[in-house]
Amino acid sequence: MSFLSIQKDTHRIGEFIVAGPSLTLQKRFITHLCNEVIITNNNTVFGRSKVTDELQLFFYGIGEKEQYVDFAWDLLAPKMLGYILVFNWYDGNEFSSAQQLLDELSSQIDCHGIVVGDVSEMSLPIDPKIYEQGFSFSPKLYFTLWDSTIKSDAKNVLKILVDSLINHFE
Amino acid sequence: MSYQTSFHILVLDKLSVEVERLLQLLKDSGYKVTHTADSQEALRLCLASAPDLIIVNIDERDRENIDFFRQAKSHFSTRSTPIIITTEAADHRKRVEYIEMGADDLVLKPYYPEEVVARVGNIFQDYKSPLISKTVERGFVGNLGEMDLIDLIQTMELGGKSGVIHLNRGDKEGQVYIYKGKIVDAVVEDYNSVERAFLHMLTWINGTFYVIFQDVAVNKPLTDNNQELFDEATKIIDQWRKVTGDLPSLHTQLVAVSDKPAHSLDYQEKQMLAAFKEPRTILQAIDHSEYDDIAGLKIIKSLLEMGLLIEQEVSYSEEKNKASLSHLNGLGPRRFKNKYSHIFAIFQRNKKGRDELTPPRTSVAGAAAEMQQIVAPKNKIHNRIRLTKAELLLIRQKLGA
Repeated sequence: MSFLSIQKDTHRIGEFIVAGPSLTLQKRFITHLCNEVIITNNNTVFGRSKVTDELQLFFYGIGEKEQYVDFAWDLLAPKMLGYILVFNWYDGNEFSSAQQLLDELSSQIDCHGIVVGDVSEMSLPIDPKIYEQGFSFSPKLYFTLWDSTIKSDAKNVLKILVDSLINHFE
Repeated sequence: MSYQTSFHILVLDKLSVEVERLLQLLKDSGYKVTHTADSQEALRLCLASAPDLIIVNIDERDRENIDFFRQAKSHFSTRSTPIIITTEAADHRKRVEYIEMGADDLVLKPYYPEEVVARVGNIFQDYKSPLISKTVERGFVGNLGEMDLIDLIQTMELGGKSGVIHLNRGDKEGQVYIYKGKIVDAVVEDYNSVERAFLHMLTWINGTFYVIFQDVAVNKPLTDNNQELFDEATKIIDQWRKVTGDLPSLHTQLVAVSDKPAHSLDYQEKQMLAAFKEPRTILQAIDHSEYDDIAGLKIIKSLLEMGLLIEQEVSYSEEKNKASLSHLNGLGPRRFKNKYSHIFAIFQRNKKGRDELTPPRTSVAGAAAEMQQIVAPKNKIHNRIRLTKAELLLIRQKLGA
């Protein structure tokens, strides 16, 4: 067997789910990180980023259409490295949706994740009561703010998540 | 038989004080260990006995073990077998290369053998994870309520398949090894004989299974004629269903009544009664009983009829755990219905298999509102990190400082 075919057999992939109430933000996050992005007709986003010849990262933005979201979680949740939950920090509805999604995820799956509030689109001030309840974080979950219009910010978000995965080994 | 004894480790390395100490420690930890210094022999052993884990020393001056490693990683029967590399390679690029080639872990020489044993334990811990979908590239998963052990064996017999049927009931797990449709081995913790282990698993009609099609080391088949075994098994299952039909749910917690005289009991009954000194479920009691399952159930039934065992009241907090899961079943109060609720329908399938881990409790009125806030942590899906630390460091490096 040639060395090339062995290389093919030993490809390694790290997979992340990008979730949240806004497909636009999911797309933006993935586009910033990946050199190859595919948007399917089911409104799901798939992005691939090459780390080395042998190691790649896959990002799945799992869209909004219920039947596809369901299917995507079914396939991806057990094998993902972690998830990135993106939402518009200034949108009260998105904040509440992100809270609910995080609660559900935390209750069902024990894995690393990061909640990311986008601060790029400041709109009218929202009712502070919406923020009062906050998020419930387990030790494997992190929170950060990002500006979705800045490419390097997406990298910074992923760094936090990767650091938490590395710390897991220590 | 302990869980660990079902794991077979192949060590490919030249014998040295360090390696001798490692072999001894692995054996002391309950693993079955095979050692060889010859890579061709190692390959033969891999194909013949399908080890659960391989420890291979790679010396850059000696290509044979590298070739073995590559062959093991490319052969279908060993491709998914975890491999730990031991090496003296000081160059970090070389070490990363080994990991990229598929090593599950890498230990630098000289090493402390205790460290290697700990790393072996970590790898097997991942493989013991209740999350089973990771291993089913060439198999299938399901619920024993829908497809029991006999159905599974019949299916494999029809196709003349070889592989391992992994079963879970409650906190117990077992394996049945099939070679070309014939049962060649059966393993359950605490059951020393193949026959006893197999008979015990026949009664696992609730729980989960997953089947991996793979090469299986050939022992003498348990029987030359599976049909005879199936006939016998059907009788046992019928008997099991009959006895359990006369009992409360097997998840019901029972406790011995301390103020009732028990002097008229025979030895077996006294022993079973003693098992319920502290509250425990019927399933737990028979799993840990020295009698066969059906005999154990009959004794419990008799003790219940005599009033020497009673159902245990459950605590409020336990009840809250149950309620926390009820929203998943769609049976009890729902936590909330939002646009994401549909996502979690997927977990129902996983949860269904794990129901055995969380015994149902009797109801306590008036607690519903608070119950909705609690989630039972032990039913969570635990993700295994599928990249090595070295690979994560590479990603981190790529992302920049």
